[in-house]
Amino acid sequence: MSPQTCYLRTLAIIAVVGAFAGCELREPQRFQFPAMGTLVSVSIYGAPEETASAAVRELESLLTELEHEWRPTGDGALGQANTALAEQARATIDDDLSLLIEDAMALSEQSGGLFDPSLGELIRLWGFDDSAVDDHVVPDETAIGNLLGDTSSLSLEENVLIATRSGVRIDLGAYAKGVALKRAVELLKAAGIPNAIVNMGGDLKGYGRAGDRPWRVGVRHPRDSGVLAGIELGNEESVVTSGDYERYFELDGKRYHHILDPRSGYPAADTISVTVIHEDAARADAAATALFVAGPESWPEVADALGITHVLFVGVDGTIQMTTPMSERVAFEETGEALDIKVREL
Amino acid sequence: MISRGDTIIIAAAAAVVVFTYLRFWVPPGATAERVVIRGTEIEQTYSLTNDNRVEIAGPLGKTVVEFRDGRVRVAESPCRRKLCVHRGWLERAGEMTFCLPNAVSVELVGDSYYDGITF
Repeated sequence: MSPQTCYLRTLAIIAVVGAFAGCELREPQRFQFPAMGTLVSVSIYGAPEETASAAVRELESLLTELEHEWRPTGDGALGQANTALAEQARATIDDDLSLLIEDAMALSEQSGGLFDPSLGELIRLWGFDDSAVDDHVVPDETAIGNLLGDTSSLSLEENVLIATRSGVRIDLGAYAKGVALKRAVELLKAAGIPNAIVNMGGDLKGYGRAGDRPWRVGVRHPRDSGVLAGIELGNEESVVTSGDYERYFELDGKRYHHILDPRSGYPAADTISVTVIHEDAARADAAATALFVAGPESWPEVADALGITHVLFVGVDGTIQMTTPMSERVAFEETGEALDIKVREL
Repeated sequence: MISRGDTIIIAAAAAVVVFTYLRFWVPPGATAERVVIRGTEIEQTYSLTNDNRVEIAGPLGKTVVEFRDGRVRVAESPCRRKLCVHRGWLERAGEMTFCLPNAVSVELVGDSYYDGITF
């Protein structure tokens, strides 16, 4: 065989192997089930079907239990703690809930109180808690004012929660899904799943890859249908968005959404969505809320205090702000819409 | 000097590359192929091509799903928070909305570029 023939044959073999190696011959397996007050989707790649199904059944069981334990009302751990706080201004809690609330309080402090896990009574007053049944109304201004405080109104020492004022009720809605995502990923890994992404009502965490490519996440457009931008997730990264466009009610032509500013007691006015990437899904979850409340001027300081480097911020006027690291990760969809984008340093 | 055998191998390799590209490459923004609506006791598949209104019975009452201009949305729901209605129009594969209280989900199925949507 001549050197030229040998070269061409080698090229041909490389082309054939390369063609197969570059293709996604199998799609991820997908599962869905209701839990944590939302629909949970799990995509798994590279595991036998029976292993994947068994792991997802185990995950469903775990998340159902966490939902019960962390619901602000009822007979779960947090529900009982809130009942005790309301009746005796103190509550003894178990180790798991204690760790959770301790971490949430630390995040609250780092955010300057803009993420506040003790806002449960204010959330209930606005009718944004899951147990509310009446039609939405804008609460009385005095009633709102009476419930404003800060996390110093709550202390935790050796599994004992103490409320230093009335009306303290813990709601982990802007944090618990992040913790649940972390635990979901731990469970799937322990069950022998090599690659997965978990979507818990729009908060996602992935590990591994979808075959030869990274997991891909679309950021929903906050005002139009479809996707604003795409992000390829790195291993162990989570992506969380807080937006004003799903949980809201309208009265007299005005929209009142569920992300409340702890300083005023009213929905934060100047933001429509914030997307954050971070390995710690709980931190990302709390940060997305805090940056939303911080608004278009102050969010970089709060992101810096929380150790968040990847932020995509959309203001109420439609302008988009990003950190430099996020600008290197995000790919905007071509919609024909002219985007007003500004990159800001922390 | 290229022999006939070499030509066949090269042609076969080229054919494999073209075939795998056409078969497996999913362009961003791929359009949805169908709509799957799930309720407590039903799972029905619809085409996106026809304008339509479908009523799905759930524990709270009827959820109304509207098809128009190649898009789909929950137009009416008996639930309190209306998250499913607020989701608005769905138009691309992978997008979905759901109503947990009335146990209804609407999902666009097809070749989706994204593994999930953050919102």
